[in-house]
Amino acid sequence: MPIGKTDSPMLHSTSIPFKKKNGVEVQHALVFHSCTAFCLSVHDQLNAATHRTLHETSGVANMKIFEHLGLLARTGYMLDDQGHNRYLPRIERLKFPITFLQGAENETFLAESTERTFAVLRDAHGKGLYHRHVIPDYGHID
Amino acid sequence: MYGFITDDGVPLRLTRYRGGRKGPVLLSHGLDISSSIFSLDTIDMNLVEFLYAPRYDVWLLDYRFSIALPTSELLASGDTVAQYDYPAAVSKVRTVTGVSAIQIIAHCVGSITLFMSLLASLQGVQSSVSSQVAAHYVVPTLTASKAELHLPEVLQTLGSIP
Repeated sequence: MPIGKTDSPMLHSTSIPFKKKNGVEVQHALVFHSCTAFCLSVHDQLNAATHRTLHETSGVANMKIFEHLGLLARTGYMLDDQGHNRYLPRIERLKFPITFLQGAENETFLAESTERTFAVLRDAHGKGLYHRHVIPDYGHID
Repeated sequence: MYGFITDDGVPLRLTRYRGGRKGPVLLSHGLDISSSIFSLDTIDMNLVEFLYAPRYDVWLLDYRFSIALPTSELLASGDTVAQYDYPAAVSKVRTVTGVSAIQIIAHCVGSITLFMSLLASLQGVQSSVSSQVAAHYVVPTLTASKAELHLPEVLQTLGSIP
């Protein structure tokens, strides 16, 4: 498969500059990821240096994955990109230790997302293999 | 740094930080970023440093959605990453290290696609840490509204109008 510049439709990232509050730069800003198609992320916990360099760490994503994510957001559970439920019926394949980390203030995927997967796995395979930690005051990627 | 080719012919990348003999841990990033999210130098201790110090063998994966690779411009859904990228990456780490099973920490779309891959038949993973999302999706009202509008499809259609 050839790799390089393509005509694939892309979404690009743009960071909004810091706001000044009483003359002081505050570590709170809305950042439009390339995932603006779906989400707004609030980065309360990012330090100033990390926020200033967000443009270096985020970039482009292809539209097909956004279409797939849109499908998942509409249905609420894992499907393939054609809408077929071919993954979750094989849940016995997740019978090994899995830990979930969840920012309580995640505004991309709400905390109930991992809570549901966590509950499904514990119902299927017992409580011993799975753990979930919800971290207060943190969001999606901060 | 290790390059590898997936079964569908896409060149991807692994970056190793060999902290010791505590076993390989693969770190998988989310969407519209790269593995550099795990090795930021703007914070006191990043995840690579956190795992390196207690002697983990840390492997950063840049799969096809990584903005560090030209492959980020290829059209691909989560199924493609699950089918091709994870099996090739896990196989590469197992081959180089000689271990039978590895551990994986995956974030956001990296976690969604890891779960897809595991459910599809990915072998050689002994445990995983899933950050923020996995197999179920509950989104804010605004996000749900955008999803109902099929915004990506609309944008793609608009973008294809000459």
